[in-house]
Amino acid sequence: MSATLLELENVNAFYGKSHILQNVSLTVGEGEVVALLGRNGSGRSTTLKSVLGLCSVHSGEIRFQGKPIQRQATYKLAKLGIAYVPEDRRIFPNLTIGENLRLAALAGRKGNWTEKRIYEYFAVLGERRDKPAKLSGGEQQMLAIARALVANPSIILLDEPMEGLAPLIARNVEDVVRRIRDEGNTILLVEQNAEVAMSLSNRGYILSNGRVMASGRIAELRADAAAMQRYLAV
Amino acid sequence: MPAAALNARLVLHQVGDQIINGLTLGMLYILVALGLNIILGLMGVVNFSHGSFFMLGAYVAHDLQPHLGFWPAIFFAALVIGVFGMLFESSLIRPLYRRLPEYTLLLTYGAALIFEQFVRWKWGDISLPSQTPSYLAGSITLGSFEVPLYKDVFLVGITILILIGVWLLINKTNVGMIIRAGTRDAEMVRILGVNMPLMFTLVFGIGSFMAGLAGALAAPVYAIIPTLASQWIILTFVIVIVGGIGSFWGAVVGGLIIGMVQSMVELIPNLGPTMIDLSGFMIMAIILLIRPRGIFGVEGLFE
Repeated sequence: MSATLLELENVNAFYGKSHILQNVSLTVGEGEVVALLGRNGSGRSTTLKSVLGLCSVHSGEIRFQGKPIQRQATYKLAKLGIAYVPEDRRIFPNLTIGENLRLAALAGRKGNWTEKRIYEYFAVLGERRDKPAKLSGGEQQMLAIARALVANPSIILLDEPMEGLAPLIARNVEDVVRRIRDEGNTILLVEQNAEVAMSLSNRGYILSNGRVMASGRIAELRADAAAMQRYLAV
Repeated sequence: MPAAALNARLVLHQVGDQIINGLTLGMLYILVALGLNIILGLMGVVNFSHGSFFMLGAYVAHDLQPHLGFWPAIFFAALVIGVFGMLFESSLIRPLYRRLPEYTLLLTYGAALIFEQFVRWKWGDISLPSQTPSYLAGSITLGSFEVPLYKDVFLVGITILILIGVWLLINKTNVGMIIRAGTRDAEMVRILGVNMPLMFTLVFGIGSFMAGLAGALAAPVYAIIPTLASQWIILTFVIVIVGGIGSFWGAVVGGLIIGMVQSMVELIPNLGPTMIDLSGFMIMAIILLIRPRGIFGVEGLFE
């Protein structure tokens, strides 16, 4: 197995007073795509946010490349190589597409991904680079993914990339994620559609009520019919 | 010449004078409101101390003038206020960002009261004399109008230059890109790797610098008194609300509208002086009824 990149060990996280994550442990190896599976409210998005320092982690440890990061300021994580594609995309509509990318490149890392290469990869963004980023849902998602890539991250935390998109557009986004995966990028993926998530991933963790209920290679999870039925209703 | 025609010319002349006055007043309003608006838009801080920085700019410039001369005193007063603003933000406001906006509102309001008492203690209750150098004291003749050189030419000119500078900063630099993005979603900018606490301090310093500069520039024109802060801060908020939170052009257009309207209502016989303060609030009430987010306000920001 490849070297461990990201590791959560017995993480307990809170939003205000509600205890969202309970002793969550997981690992993501270099070059792996790992899916967080489970119903809405099971703690999948919070797991990503706990890595980013956006919710309070009361106990446990989060390590990135072997070093604890749960006390790091959020803004330092981009330089370490952690990129985030949030569930509601959160692109800046008052900036141009180019500025959205340059902002991420500014504090990100240097590497293969440049603004120019992004435009080759995502033609739809290149055509409108100087226009304000008032985009359709699918285009917003492309830009949010491109914004993560242009920082040349070691890992991408990808939260619900297909959510709210028409089926055809969702398939486009799925293809993009697959292409990025095939280039060897490491991804921690949260995706509502368990079938899609599993088809994109090497391994998965099934969460329910903030706890890890099952984990393993995708084939092993599929074989666990009881868990699949109970926690994912598939 | 018939009396009616003479009267009409006189009124026309008064209107012309008030348009020039309104422009000058509007320019100063813009300078103060722009800083307040950028701070409010980016950090969500309702900064009631902003008027105090304006006032302190006037007092500090007054004290520096005998030592440094007229223009250097204005610049260094603004610089002192800018640095003071950065210390104020990083020591007192920063610990409150995680809390509700009301906390910073109360803090800055309380600080404004302290600043006013400090000024009374140090400089006294009565207005201080302020002088412009003799070469600026004159006026130039434009048609049939006598236009005071300092108040209506230099002050307006300098303000326009500063506005151009701020526009370039916001629209053409990386810092400006961060400010514009942060105004929409500061947390996301932080996730992308920008040291936002540092940016907040920097922007607070820039806003305070502009307020201090406006105060120093206004000192020779308006009375330097301890109530300067409370008079200006309310109007500055009115301008921000009329123009739209977080918007450059909102501050510009809001400042000009309020400056002009205040100048014009002064012409109303008998009612004029009492209408000056009221007129700003009336404009705000009208704007809030027809366009609650202000003329250039953006949907979803602070709504």
